[in-house]
Amino acid sequence: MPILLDYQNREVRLTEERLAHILDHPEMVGMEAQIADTLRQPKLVRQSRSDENIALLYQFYTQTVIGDKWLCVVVKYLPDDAFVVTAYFTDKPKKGETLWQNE
Amino acid sequence: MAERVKVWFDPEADFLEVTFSEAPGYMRETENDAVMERVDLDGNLLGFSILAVSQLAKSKPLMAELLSGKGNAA
Repeated sequence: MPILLDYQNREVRLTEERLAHILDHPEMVGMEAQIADTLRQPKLVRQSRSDENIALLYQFYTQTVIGDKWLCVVVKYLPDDAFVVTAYFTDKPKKGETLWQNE
Repeated sequence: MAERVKVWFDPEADFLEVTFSEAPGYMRETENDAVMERVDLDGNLLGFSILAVSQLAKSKPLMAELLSGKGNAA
């Protein structure tokens, strides 16, 4: 199972099962490196309003198969664990408290 | 004509995704923060996802309006 590092050097696990589900979406094929990059160097991190343990990490990508879009990596941070829930392209970051921003 | 629906539930992540179509698309916010709709570039509905599914049992039934029409996406 890949262990990735986030923007605060925390270890985040990405299970093979979840990665396979993410890559099952045709626009996400070949995006493994961008998922890792977004986790490591997001442009924006927002707190989920649905689950206080979840952070939404965003990076903007141009010229994807569906045009210019934000890549969102959803991460659940628990006291002794952190893991990627899912990742997807979206048209804009969700509303919510900004936890971190790279100006 | 029958339509195929794919349902993915991840209990550890507390995440549910329902897919109507395998076409390329992206996620779009709805009025309900926990729910996102998946659409193609023409706005056709391809599916939806729900975050923090287990919280639904503790409150009222989930209500969300998917703004996209379910079109003829491949």
